[in-house]
Amino acid sequence: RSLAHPAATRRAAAADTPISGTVVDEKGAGLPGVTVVLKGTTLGASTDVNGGFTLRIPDGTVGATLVISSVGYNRQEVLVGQQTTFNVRLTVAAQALDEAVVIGYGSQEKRTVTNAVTTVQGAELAKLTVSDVGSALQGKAAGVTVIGAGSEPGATPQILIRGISTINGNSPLYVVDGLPVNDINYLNPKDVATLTVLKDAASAAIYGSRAANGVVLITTKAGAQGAPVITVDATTGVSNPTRLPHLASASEYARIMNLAAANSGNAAVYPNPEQYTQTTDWWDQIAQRGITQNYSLGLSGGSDKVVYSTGLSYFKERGLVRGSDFDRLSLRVKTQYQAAKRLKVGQDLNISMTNQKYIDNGSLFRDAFRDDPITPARVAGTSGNPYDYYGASPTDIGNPLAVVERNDEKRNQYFLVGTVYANYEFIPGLVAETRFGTNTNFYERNVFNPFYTIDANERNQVNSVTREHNLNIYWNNTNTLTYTKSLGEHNFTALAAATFEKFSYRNERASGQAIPSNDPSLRQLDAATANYNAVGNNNSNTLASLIGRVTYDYKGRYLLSASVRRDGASVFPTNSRFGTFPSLSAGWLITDEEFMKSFETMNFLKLRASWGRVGNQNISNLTNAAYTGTFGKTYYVTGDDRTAQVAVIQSNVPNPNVKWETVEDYDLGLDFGFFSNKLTATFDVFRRNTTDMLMFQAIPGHAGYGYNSPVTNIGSMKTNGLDFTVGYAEAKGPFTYGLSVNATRAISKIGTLANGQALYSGNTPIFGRPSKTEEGGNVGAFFGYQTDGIFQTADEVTSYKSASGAVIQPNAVAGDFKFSDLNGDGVIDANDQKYIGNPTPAMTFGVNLNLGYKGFDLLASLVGSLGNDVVNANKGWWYSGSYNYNKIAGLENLAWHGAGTSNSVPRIAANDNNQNLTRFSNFYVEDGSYARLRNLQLGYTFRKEMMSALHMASLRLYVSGQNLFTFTKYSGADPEIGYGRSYTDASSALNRGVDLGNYPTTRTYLVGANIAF
Amino acid sequence: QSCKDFLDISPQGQQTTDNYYTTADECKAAVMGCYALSDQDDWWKIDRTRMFGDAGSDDAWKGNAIAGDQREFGDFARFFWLPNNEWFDNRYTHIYQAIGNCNAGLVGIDRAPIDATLKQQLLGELKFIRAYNYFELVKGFGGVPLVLTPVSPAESIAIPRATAAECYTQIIKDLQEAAAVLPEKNARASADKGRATKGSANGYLAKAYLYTEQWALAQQTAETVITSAQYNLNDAFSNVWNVNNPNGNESMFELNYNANQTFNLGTYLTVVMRSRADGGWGFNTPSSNLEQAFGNDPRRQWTIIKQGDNVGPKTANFDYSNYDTKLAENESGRISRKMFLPLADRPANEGNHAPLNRIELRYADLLLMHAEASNKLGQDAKALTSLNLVRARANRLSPGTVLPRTSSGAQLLSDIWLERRLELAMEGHRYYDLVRQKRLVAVMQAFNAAQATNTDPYDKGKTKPLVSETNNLFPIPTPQIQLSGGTVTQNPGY
Repeated sequence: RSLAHPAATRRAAAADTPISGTVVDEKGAGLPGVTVVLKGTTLGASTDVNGGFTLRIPDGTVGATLVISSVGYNRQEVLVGQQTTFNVRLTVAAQALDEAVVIGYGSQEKRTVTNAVTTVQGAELAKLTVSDVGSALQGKAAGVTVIGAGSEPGATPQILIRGISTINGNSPLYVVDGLPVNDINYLNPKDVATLTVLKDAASAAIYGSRAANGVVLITTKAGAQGAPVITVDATTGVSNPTRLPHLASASEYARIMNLAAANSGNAAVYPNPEQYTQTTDWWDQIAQRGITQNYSLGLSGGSDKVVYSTGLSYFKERGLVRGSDFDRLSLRVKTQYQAAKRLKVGQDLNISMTNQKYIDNGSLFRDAFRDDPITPARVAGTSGNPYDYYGASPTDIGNPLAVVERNDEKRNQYFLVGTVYANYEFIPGLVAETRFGTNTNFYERNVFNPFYTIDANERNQVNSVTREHNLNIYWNNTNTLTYTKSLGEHNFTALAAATFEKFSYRNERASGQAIPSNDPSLRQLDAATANYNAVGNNNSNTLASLIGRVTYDYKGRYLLSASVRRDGASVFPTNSRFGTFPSLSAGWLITDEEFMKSFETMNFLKLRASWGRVGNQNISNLTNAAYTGTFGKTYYVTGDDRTAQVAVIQSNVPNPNVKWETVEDYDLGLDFGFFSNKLTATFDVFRRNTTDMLMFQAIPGHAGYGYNSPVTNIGSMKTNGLDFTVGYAEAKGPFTYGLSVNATRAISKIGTLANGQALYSGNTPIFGRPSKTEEGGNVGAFFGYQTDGIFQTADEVTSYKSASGAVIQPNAVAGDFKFSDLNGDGVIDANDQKYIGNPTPAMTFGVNLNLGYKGFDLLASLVGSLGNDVVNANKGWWYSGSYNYNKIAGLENLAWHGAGTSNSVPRIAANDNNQNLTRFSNFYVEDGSYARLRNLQLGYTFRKEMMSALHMASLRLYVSGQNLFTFTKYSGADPEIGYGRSYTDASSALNRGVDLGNYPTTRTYLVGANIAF
Repeated sequence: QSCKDFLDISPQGQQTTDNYYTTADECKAAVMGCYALSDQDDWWKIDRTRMFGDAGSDDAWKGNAIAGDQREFGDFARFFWLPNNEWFDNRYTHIYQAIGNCNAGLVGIDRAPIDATLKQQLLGELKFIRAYNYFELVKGFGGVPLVLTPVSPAESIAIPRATAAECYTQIIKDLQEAAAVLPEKNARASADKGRATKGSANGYLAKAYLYTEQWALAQQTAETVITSAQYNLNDAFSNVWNVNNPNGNESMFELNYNANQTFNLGTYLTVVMRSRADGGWGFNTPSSNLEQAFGNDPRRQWTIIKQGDNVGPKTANFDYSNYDTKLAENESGRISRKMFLPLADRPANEGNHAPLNRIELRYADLLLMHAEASNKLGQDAKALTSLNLVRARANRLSPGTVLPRTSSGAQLLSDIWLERRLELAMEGHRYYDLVRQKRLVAVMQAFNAAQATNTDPYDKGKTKPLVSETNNLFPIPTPQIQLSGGTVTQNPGY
């Protein structure tokens, strides 16, 4: 009897035990279509629209275990035991290996992808409440570095895919539901279903000429067959600055100014400094508590003929500065119909409206931390014009409070972004699709500048009103033909496509002056009485492309993909208009090999290699005026009656030889899965060669074009780097936890530059350009003087001599910097400069932690940057006696004030004859490494029983804090500088890390709810 | 073919260089553009650097006493000249922009299908503008890259600095060619007043000879102007720098302005140099040393407004009968009267839009050039004639105060130099004259010494101790050395 057949036992179990349950996502919403399988059998079920399932467990099954899996989620196993109802929560997979990945013009199973792509689930992005997708992406994807520059409402961060691929303009191309768009401001990040980053040229080559900086493919939420599901998400929070500089009080400032004067032999500026007991904190004057709100309402569902998803969302961010805010109202409708047996038609449509109360903060933040603390913010007045009643500072800075309070600039943008498509399957596997898409947006800007007189030097005698309209129309026609075929173990997919794209930009701006009063009701052009002005123009450019791609695999184990795209771009001269961009990639699924079957812990291993070429034609304001010289209009006065005569001047610098920029790269990658994919890892190394980089190149004055610059193929660059993601996720009973770490390293070196000439950039008003880029060097590295401490005594000055016995720094006195005479020629001049810093980080990283216990979930996200330097240019004002701007608090003690008092901060003097601060030196260069707790979120999902009483399918409440802590040694306000606000130079990778004062970064505290019905 | 059409898009709304210079109007507009660029449309481009000639000498201070307000101008005024001082680069780059447009216009107009006489005039006008701009460069920076045809950016990088002599040779050539074809001032139609004339070209030609110490040619050219009878000193000295005297009797070349804000015309200098109490910025204030040099010369009050001077009636906001220079923020208790615009003449939002024409060359200057050249040639009689014409006009302000000179030789030269200082004070000439006369350091040292015993209530004791022979040339701006890859080299001492 003891030999009774187990099989017989099983067969004897005639009665099965019915079990049932619900599978929900992290927010507690029912997950439809989830596969529930009894482990070791083929018994299984699929969840319904509410996530419910039923299954019968054959009696006597030993250790019955349910395996619950769904694309994009971590697989979970649940021991059945005596339980008959189950509530299973699936967590989003950081790196699920069996999901479908969206690739250019198609999708592919992740296991067969041969390129370097990273996918981020929309649910991950939705954890942050931010205005734009880029900010949500920070720290989430290996290879993607997101650098904010303060948290100005409506501003977008810099997104670098594998570092800089060119030294000018590094924004990736966004492709939303198949439509390439230049910016995704219209899109609420919470509407994203999945986001795929194409990191290597092989994956991006299919987008050819617009893909040089990588491509971000976004799929918005789509419906699924089933009963309608209504979701409501609501979040609201408050914010304040993460950190602000600490500046001198009024009396301290007065003492410092007197000291500076005395040290230069000038009379005291402020007799009796201690009389200034009132300190004006300019930041306090202009600041307010920030408020962030997001509300989204979604409806989705479908039948076998139609699936739909629609959503309405509202996002609003009130800035840290009074009068700055941004909001967006967006409506999204996504539908697909099975119009006939072989014909699908559909549309994706976004209608959005953004409104921004804009403050031109190019100098406002700098000014709030520079204006003197003695001047009162407000003064009494009798003029009857409230814009007059402000204190006038003796600095050359306008009253920041007055700037904020009279500021009246509204920017509204209306977006219509959408695609209609038809998809016809001729025979199984052969599908033709045609798509028409548009990104049309209408921009309106209204500005009113009132008349006011704060003092004789700070006034506007004539008020003015301006209205500007821009109409941007982008349209795209994409036609694809895809054929998928399997012949035995050989699987092919072939794609052929043709696309046509046109960008057109129409603008007009009208202004008028002398409005009868500053009354809000009169802030219209109709009320202006003088000095009317109107300008306007049309600009357009076009792209036409042919695309081909073949993917092939043998047994799903040996993978091969090749593509080619030929682009014609109107922005280039006729003879260099076309570019060809090929790619090739291969993969080997090693774990499918017989010899790997014995390695049980490693369940997945894929080796990938790719090569590809992409182009870049995307340089700001590029039209074919890049190669054609044009004249701008101006006027000159002649005659006894002072007549304005029409005059023309050359307005651009044509470059008839301008041509495509090409980015070529090589990628070698490995994807691992261990312990049934509990531990996953992806590791890529890459090398990228960029040639003929396009940028506006500054040229010598004597070329005769003023400060205009030609679009130039400036040179070549090589980037080496790596990126990786390691993730671990597991569910143990009521516990689920996951940890994912990603990091990116991308080091670029310049190969050649046009004419072999170095580029200087990052201009500052204090010491000129600190950044230098030269052949063989880093991009925008900091180049300046080396200080060797401070002369403590007059003797030290006179004993610092050249070989010939001359005093090297004759203008120096005790307390001044001793500059290293690097070339030993006995004088300190331009030849004594060297590289003293590098803005490129050794690594940027993201760490994402998820914990779940029963209804609770906790998420922590850490982002950061290591090994980069920052130029704290603000020190040129805050530590200098040469300006009457405010000083850093405690400067009297920090600065040298006698032998032995400081070896790092020079004396305070009105006349800086030793150029302590007007020479760019290592005094300004600081370590910009940081780690920031980007997000900390704690949520609780209520039990289903409680929900049914409220007629809800699910309810999750959460609290979160964004940017709670920043760990850094940087002494300025925030180490995340981005491309900086250069004083005069255009934003580019060449200006990175030069801090001239950004909008502060916000720390935000939020509460929110996710509800489904 | 259709793909080609799809990809062919021309620039809109702007004429292109490919199809320009086809009509007389287009050619004229290109010339007007070169005038416009010689002045530029914003104060920081070239306008403000016109103060260099005063502040870089014993005539004026930075003026605005607020440390840090325009620190870079303060550094200039105290002879602390740094190559990365932006003012130098702004001046250099924008003047060259005018030259680049002249070069393009010279080529374009030369092949334009327009009337031959008009063509020659327009070409002459461009040569004058080019020479004027090269002169503006070379008198400060010394020899600069001599670019005479349109160059591509790549070509420009290979062009090194020419010597100052080579630059002057070209300036002289351009001016000679311009003088040969340009009409005299009286032949200019009313609507064209302010455009360059034969007299403008000859006047600058005389100046170029003076700067290159070709005394005979300087004298001879000045006499050409004198005998042309196009110019005189009939305008009262007090009316020379008057907003209502555009292109006056004495004017040989001036930059023309009106108050149009829509087209961004006009100058900022009236604001930049006015008292901070009177809506100005308070820069470039005359020194007490300059005032003392006038003695009882009545030109003093038309050159300098001193604290408490009466320059007009009292108004609700400001008492012009007791002028306030805002002593707390003014280094010398004085402002320039030549740049002073009376309240009634100030347009609303005056900044960048003041209509006070900038007189770049006037007849008194030419007469004093003639006097100096004649003295150098040993022809003191001629020198005295011209010098005393200038003094006679000054004397008319207050008869008996400015008597004719009778000196000779070195004393006469000294008198002529003093006359230049007084007559042309605060018009932007002094620094360049001192360098040309090879006495910048000597004069500034004497100034510093005098300051030690000066009893002026406002600027006594204040000096400019950093002056040295290095200051005989401006530094070549750092960006120019960088952008040329080192082809353009630095001046000695920087």
